[in-house]
Amino acid sequence: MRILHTADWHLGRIFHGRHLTQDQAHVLEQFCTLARDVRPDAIIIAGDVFDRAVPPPEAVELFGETLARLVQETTAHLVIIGGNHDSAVRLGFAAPLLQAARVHLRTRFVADPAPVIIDDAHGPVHLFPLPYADPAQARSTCGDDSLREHADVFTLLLNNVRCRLARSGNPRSIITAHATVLGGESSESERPLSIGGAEAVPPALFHGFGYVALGHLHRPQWIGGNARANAGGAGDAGKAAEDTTLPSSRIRYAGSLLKYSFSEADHRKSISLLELDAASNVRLEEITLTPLHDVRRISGRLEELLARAKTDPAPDDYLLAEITDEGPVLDALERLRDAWPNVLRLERPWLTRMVQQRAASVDHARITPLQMLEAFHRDMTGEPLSDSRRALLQDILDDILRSQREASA
Amino acid sequence: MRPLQLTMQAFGPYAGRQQLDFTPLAQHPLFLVHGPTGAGKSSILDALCHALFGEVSGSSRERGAQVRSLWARPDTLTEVTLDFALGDACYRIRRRPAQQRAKKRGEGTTQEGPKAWLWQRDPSLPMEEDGTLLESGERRVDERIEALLGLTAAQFRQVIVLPQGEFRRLLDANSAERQKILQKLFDTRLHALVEQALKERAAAARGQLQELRTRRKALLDAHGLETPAALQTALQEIDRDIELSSSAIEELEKKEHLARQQLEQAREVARKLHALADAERRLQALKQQAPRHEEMQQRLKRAEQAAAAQPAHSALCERRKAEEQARKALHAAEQAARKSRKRHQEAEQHLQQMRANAPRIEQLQQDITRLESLLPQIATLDRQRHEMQQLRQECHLLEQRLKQDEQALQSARASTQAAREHLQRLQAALQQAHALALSLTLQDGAPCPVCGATEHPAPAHQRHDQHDQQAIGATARQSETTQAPALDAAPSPQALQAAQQALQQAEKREEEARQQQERQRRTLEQKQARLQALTQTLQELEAHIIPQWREEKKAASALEAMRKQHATLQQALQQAEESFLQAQQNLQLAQARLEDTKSAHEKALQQREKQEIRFAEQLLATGFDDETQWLAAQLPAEERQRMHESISTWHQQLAMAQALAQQAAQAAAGLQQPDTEALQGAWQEAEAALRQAREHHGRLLERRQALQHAAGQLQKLADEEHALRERADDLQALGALASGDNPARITLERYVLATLLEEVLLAASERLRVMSDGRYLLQRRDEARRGGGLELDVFDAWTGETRAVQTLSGGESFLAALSLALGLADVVQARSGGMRMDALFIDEGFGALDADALERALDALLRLQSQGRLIGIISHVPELRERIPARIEVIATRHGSHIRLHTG
Repeated sequence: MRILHTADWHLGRIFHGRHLTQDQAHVLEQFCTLARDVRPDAIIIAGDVFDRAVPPPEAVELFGETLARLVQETTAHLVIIGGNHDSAVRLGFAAPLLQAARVHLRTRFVADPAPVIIDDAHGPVHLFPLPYADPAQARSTCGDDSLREHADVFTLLLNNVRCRLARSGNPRSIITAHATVLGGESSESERPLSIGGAEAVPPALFHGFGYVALGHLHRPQWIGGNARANAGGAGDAGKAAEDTTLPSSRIRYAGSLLKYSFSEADHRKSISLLELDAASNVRLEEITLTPLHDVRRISGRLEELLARAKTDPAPDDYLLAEITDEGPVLDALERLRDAWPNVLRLERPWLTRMVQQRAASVDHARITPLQMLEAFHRDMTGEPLSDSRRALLQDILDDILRSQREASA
Repeated sequence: MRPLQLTMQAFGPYAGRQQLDFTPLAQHPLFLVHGPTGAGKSSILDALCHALFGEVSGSSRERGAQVRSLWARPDTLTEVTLDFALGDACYRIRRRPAQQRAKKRGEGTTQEGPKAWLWQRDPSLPMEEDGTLLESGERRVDERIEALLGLTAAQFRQVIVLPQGEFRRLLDANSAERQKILQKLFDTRLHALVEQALKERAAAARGQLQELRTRRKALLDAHGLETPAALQTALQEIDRDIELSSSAIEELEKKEHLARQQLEQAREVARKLHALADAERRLQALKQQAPRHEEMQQRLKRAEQAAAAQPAHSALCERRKAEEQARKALHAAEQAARKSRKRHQEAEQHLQQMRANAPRIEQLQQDITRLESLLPQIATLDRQRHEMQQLRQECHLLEQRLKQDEQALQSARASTQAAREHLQRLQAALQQAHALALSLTLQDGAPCPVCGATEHPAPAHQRHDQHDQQAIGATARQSETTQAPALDAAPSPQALQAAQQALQQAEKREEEARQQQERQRRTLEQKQARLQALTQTLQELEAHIIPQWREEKKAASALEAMRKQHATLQQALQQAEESFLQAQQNLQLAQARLEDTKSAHEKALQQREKQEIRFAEQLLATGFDDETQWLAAQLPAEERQRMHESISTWHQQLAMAQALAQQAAQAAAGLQQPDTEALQGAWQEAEAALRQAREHHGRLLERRQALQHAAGQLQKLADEEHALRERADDLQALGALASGDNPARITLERYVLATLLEEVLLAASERLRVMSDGRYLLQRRDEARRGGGLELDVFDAWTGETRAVQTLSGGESFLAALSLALGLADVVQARSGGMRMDALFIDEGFGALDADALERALDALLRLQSQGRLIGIISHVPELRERIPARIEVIATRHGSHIRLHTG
């Protein structure tokens, strides 16, 4: 069975003030073409379709168009689950109706989900979509107060899934879920699933299935298993597909569609194409798509950067510019944008350092009143306190303290 | 200040009673209040502010006027209660604004004034209990809240509650306002006090300097000088004067000495002349005493003559005395003898009397003996008498009994008789019955069964008439003891038998009675016989004994009495004999003594007469006529001695006086009386002059000393002044610095606040930097302007320029205000002694942010560690509802709003 696994489209996202819808459309165009060419049996979108619960209309339009194209141009089953950014209800609009069109929108939490059964030449494959639900929701749906953490929720879900599989004679199985699994590397752009950080789910829960198609973490990665297979190494946005055979793990994050933060500048974003054979062996191929704008960091002195723009192959990329000049620099952004129009963020390490130094040098809780007076004197007159003056001030301070003590006694 | 529970009643859009428990929200770093427009979201903050201050959160809403819910029922009072914690202490405050309420009695409403209460409570108390009341009454509660929180309502609205549309307040505030808030939040009183202390001390130092100057002037004035230089010249002058004075004194001393000498000499002469006069006077006086002493001499001679006869005279006196004594003794002895004789006679008489009693004594003795021998008999008598008495009693008793027995016998006889009669009657009856029975059988001509006669003239017939019946009955009653049965026509054999038995019994009884009587009589006779016998014996015995002794008791007492008497008499006799003997002896002794004393007296008399003669001879020898003369001339030895001495002394004195007079005459030979007066006057003058000069000198010395002392003082003052001036200068400088007289035109307190503000801004900038994607930082405007120094600027990293905070856009300034509030809270938290800001409420403002900025702001807020701080956001932005799990939903209905709490 051939499956296209993607996730974290975040349609409608605003990236440092820029709407990315156009970029997303550009990539999704390529995705649809890919789907048409590859002819998968199933296309899994593992959550975070939209960036917000109420996405902007362009994003909704884009999704609609994409879905339409995928349905029209392929015969694949589309299995789409909701993520933590999606609004379960809104995303699941008209889900039953879309079922008939091979679009399986599973956004609401169900404790015992029914699989999407897709047949291939070797038989049925049971694909269980597990949409994202926070523990509070799971609690109120099940009426079970013992579900406190995400791990508890998944334990319940996967138990039920295993029961079903057992009842069905243990066919080949695929899970798709939207969660943070322990061992995965996160980036700046993922929204935390719970405050106070107990959101990670142990990977052991997901053992025993043919393939676990995860969404939420934006780096394409396997969980556990072959380290080499996790390399989404830095480099050019090449088109060469890499053939990595038989990884030792079956749990994979597809990674986000585009780079959604500057911490992802070194990611290589891809779509995961996998083959599941009759024996549930998995073979993966990463297919990269070409974005409209890459997300990069550039660093150097202002003049340097301005010069470099002339020779850079993609000056339009979305950039984080790190200006290493020491001392004040006027109109840095203006001037940078002249050369690099899409500088979205400016960093001044020198300034940060200065600020931090100032912060460190000021430690008011521990400054004694006399030291404060000393500082005052020095700042006002440029001279330190003479001994006689210091003695005077000390005397005054002692006096005041004593009378305060007496007053409060 | 951390709110724990808010209860609103008839407040704003809340018609009923709404309770909002903040404690479950405390675990989340953030909570959201959402609901449709006008539902009552801001009213929750209003309620919070109203509870604490009586005002509402937005200044655009008037105090108290319209907090009452329009949907509220007239009997529901508008009331807000807030439980909050300040540090470790928990409080509850309740307010009721002025409002109309339904009258308790009657129709309509009455105006109720504003009320407020403040309690301190233990968090473990149940909700219904308020705790310990601390204050009540609007004004007092207001004051206490301000003291507890440290903020006024306006300041509260700048740092803890950021009301809708007014979040920029703190950001936009001018330096003065900001200073006030910072002063409240951070305790900078210390520095204000230092400023003040510097000022005060500088003033004090100046005052002291002034004082020193005054003292110096006073010192100089005291010596009539203008300047210290004058002092020096004065000193020099003085020295010169002293020189002069010394030499003057020398001169005068010489003069005085001379005058004194002359005076002395004159005095000497005068003294000598005076001495001479004295001596002569004295001599005269003594000479006048001569005749007296002559007389004394004479007397003395005579006395000495008398003294010769002294021993004889004394001996004579002795003899006279002795004789006197002897005479007395003799007299006494005579008296004693007489007495003794009398006593002797008396004793004799007495003895005679006693002796007369002797026969009686004999008699008594005999009687006693006799009585003693009779005692047993008497005892017997007594016993017999007693027995007789008893017997008599018994006889009497027996006689009585005998009488009784007689009576009994009589009655027994009677009853026997009755029984017999009864029996007879019965028999008769029976006979009669038989007769009757027989008579019935009688027939004329037939022989009677009894006698055989054939004629029956009078056959028996029924005669049981009433009379007989009665008689029978009466008999029966009489002889009850016999128990005669009632008779019928023919008495039954049983009856007969019974009657017979009765008779027998009666006879038996009679017999018994008789026997009894016999017995009694016999006993009586016995006893009487005995009695008789006893009487006789008694009589016989008594014949022997006299009546008084016939009874034992009496006899005993008589015996006793006799014994006593005997003893007494015997004793008396003995005593009388003894005393007589004694008296005899005494008499003999007395007589003997009489003899002795008589002879002694004789002797004494003789001796005396002898001595009288001897003495008379002596007198004549010494030229006295008689004893009286002698006695007159006599003088005791001491007296004589004294006279002798007196005379010799006088002689001595006289001699000495003569010698002295002679000497004085010699010494004063040829001398004249001098004029001491004049000389005295001269000397005094000289002396006075000298003294004056000395005084003058002394004064000069004093003055010099004073001047020197003053010079020393001046020096000291100068030194002090120097030290003080330095200090005063320092204080002045510091004070000026502290009060803003410095290049930066900033007071000490403002400086401290500025540094604090810097710290706050650093913390705020950190947040703002993140929220503005690295673009903005908050800074303090460093301006050298009095009253400035606390203005805020924002640094734009994109342009590298600093500009005023007011130039930020709506959304940007919201982020800045939020950062500032958070930064402020951070710094306050970190410092000790500052106010605790455990809560922050933000009313709207998120709507001004675009999605990206909202994302960043929310992320920043969500990443906050809760640290026990409660941050509440009021917003209608729907995105927030998805993101923030802890929510307060305000639901509006036609009848007012209510609240639902969701905790994730």
